[in-house]
This record gives sequence, structure tokens and C-alpha cells, in this order.
Amino acid sequence: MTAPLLVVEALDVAYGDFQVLWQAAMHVGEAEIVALLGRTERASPRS
Amino acid sequence: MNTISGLITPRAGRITFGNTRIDGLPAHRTAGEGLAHVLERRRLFPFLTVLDNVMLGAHNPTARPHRDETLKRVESLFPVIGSRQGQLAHTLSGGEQQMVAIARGLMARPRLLMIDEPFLGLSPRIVQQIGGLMRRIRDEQGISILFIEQNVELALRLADRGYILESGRTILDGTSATLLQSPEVKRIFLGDVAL
Repeated sequence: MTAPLLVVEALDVAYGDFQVLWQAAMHVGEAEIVALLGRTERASPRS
Repeated sequence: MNTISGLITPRAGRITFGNTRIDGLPAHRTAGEGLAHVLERRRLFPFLTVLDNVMLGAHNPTARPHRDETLKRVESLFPVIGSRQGQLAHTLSGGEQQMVAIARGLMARPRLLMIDEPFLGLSPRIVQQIGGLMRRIRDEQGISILFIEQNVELALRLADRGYILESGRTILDGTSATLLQSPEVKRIFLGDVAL
């Protein structure tokens, strides 16, 4: 695995009272291409 | 992605970029740390020229001193920047606008380029072209790329790895080869239709 450049841990995100991410975790290594795929609008990885 | 780039403050958790904790940093600070975000639907300034749009990407103090050199590098990847530099952005095709948006992101000299739905609304030929450019950005410049895509097969054929979110939770992650073969991925996205 390449060295982590970006590390996301236990991320909770909300728009006001509307939570859109629960405990999200991910990483991106150096010179790595990573895709985020969301199935529904509510689950959009845009947040 | 908006949270990573500082457009939204998280409720909890931690984001580390390089050796720096960036959760809660505003977007102009994350850009200075080496993180560029190409927004969904390009978000160019429609009545500025192609060149003006691109140069705005080099606004942060880290990138500004190198902007002429960076522009040459970006123009070699995206010839449209040179050939259409005086044209107003809103007169470009969707594919050309996406190239300008990615070029603007690269002008920030990022270590990580985040692209929100790079293929949205584009023809298959342009999708293939932009996918190839994303690979070149990684291969030739060593820049990491994180992108959001709804088309699972397209995304996983381009990416090294993927994360699949459902209802705001990460339900699967792994190498693209593993995910492409995963029965769970087929069930979630394709209703058991083979990829």
C-alpha cells in the first residue's frame, strides 16, 4: 500500500439537524486514484 | 468531499492531510496545504476568459510564485487552455469546461486533487478523454486523485481503490479489482447484473 496522504477517521457530518455521514473512514495514498461511490442522494459522498 | 476541503465543518472525527490536521480549517487554508477541489458542475466564472478562470486556481500564496511554470505544465495536459485562452468560459462545451475546471485545480499545485463527478453530463468520448487525463495527472505528476462518481463500473476501472457509501455509512471498500468482482457491489448497484 502507498503511504497515506489523506486520512479520514470517524467522521460525522450534518447539515443542521440532518446527519449525512456516520463514522466515515477512508484514506488516499501518494499517487493513488480513489473513487467514492454513493448509492443514494442521502448517501452522497459529496458531504 | 466538501468536508475535506473545508466547505463544511464536521460534527465529529478527524481529517489528516500529510502531517497536518485539517478538519475545521476553512477552504482557503486547505488549498494552501496542497489540496484542490474541483466542484460538481465545474463552477467556472462564465463571463471570465478561460485563462482568467485557470489563473484563479493559482491564487493561494504557495502556488502564486510558480504560476507561469505551472501554467505551461497544465497547458501541455490541456491544449484547450492555450488554444481558447481568450474565450469566455460559458461558450465552451461541457467537456472543455470540465478540462478548464480541472486545469484550475492543478494551478494550485496540489498534492491531492479532488474532483466531484468529473464525468457528469459528458459524452462517452469525452469521458474516456478525461479519464485518460486523470491517469496522466497521477502518472506524470504524482498527484493523488479522489473523485466521486455514480457509475460504478466506470469509476472502478479508473481508480486503484474505491469506497462505497450507503445511507451515509461506508459499507464496502477495497481495491477496484476486488470490488468489481464483489457480488455485494453487483447487488447494490446493478441488481445482480454482471459487470
